Amino acid sequence: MNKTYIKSIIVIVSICLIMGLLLAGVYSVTAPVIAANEEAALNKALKDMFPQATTFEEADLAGAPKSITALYLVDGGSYYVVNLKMVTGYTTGATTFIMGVDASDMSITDLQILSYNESVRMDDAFPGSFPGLTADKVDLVTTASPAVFSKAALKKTVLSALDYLRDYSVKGGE
Amino acid sequence: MKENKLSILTKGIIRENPTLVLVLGTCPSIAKSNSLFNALGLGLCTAIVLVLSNIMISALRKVIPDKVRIPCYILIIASFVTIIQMLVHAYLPDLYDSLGAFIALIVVNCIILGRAEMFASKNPVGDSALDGLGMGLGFTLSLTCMALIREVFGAGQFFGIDLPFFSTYNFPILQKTFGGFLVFGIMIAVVGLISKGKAPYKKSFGCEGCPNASICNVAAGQSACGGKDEVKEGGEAQ
Amino acid sequence: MKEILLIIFAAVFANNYVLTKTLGICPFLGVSKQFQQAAGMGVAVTFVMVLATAATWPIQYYVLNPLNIGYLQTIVFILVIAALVQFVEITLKRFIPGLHKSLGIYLPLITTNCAVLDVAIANITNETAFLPSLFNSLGAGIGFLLAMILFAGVRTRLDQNTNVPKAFRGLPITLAAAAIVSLSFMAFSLK
Repeated sequence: MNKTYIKSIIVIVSICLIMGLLLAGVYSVTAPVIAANEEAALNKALKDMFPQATTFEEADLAGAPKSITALYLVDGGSYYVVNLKMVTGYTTGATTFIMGVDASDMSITDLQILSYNESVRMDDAFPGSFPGLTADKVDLVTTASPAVFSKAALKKTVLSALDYLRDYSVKGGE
Repeated sequence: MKENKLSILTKGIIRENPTLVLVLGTCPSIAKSNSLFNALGLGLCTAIVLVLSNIMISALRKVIPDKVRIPCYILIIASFVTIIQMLVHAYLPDLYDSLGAFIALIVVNCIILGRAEMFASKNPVGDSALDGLGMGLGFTLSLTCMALIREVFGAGQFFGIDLPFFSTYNFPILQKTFGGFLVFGIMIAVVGLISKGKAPYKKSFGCEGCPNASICNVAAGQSACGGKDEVKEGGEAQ
Repeated sequence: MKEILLIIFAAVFANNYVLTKTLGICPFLGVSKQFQQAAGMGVAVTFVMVLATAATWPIQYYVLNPLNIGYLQTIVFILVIAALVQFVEITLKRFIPGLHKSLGIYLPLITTNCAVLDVAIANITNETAFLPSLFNSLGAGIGFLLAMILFAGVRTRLDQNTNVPKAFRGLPITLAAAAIVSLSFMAFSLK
């Protein structure tokens, strides 16, 4: 009886070890490729948003809200691009989007949704209602049906990012 | 029982098609048969996992103690699924995005555990590999057929390319869950009609007829599905 | 409070596991012949979904992520769920035999139920916090239960019908019925 138990344990542990090694091997090969793919996709999105820009400099994200996953200074800081991630809980995956902001008057220049997984699709025109607005005007964007709650959450994310950028630009100007 | 190698390979494709005859792996068949791209991608991923896990389990069949075989199988299958998941994520990012969680869910596809239990644990490595390949291709084939119907009639496209007539006149509802259930039902009915009732599990669905029943029973020590008073041929007998 | 209600509503209706995401079809078709069995299965799935999330969420965030082995997610989750189901079954058998009698027989089936694994994985990929994850799982379970009950009702009528063409008898007509039941959830997720 005892012998079969020991044998079972040895077999399971050895399968775990073999498979673990195999997995670690594959992971070490694929992880850099996956990271490079993601970076390439993001770079392409940034380039699409600011075709004339020459440099995108990734900035430090001290004290930023959780929704901001990356901040880029375009051409040394004349524009900002924030990579945003919105988590609502009533989705089938996080929503990610990038937003370009003009550093001179803190108005939104562009907003591109990268992945959208909310349970109800919002109308395609909605992201287009943000460009040109400053923080005080964002409040006026209507979040009428469809996807009322997802739109409201998106608006909140945009506002918190603008808030952070305003502080950031003040600090950066010193 | 001596079976020739060719029949091991072909029985999975037609005679014992895992999706349409054995009715296993229903969830991915319904969910990801909405486009040919998804269907082929998921089918081939599943086939690769099936072949690899069949080979591994068959090679280890004399080593794995009977009592802990199910956890061992799950461990092996889950590892291969994770490997495929990482490879697809790295080299086919489009497919990865489009399939989403369904790559990870290959783990709980009953076809794989079923073949491990029914075939690979009793047969030599070569036969198991052929069986896995046959079953995997059978799964891919049925998934692709469903996807062909759903994509051509539902979206008017073929691999994402617009077709002349169908792109104007199509039924978008076939792309939805509704279409998945309906096309799957019709395919099973057609296959049943062609095989004239010779297909082993055509009529009943429920664990009594499920080839995987033994796995559930092993875990439970008793049958989990349906009372004993239940009639096998669900709809007909009542 | 509003957030929680929203999460549950979305999980029950908009992202219904069976009728919108088409996961967990095996028990949906296999155990829906009788109303009571369907309800039992639904409750058992709900129970396991919440427990599985309660177990896997901390494992992901406090064990896998700090050790930088997040890629072992699938393996660890399926093993944890399998162990959990066994554990729950033994505990129920020992301490609450009444409940074990009504739920216990469905539990082993749930190990290979893709809906449970998907809930656990989805809560991680969606990056929801712990409490919303639990409510999401609860909602997913309730959605499953609802679909089971609805469909059991349809099937009792369907099984009495003798007018079905021969080729469609049994599973094909059941799938066609499921297709029509799934229409009732389409309005919730305008995708």
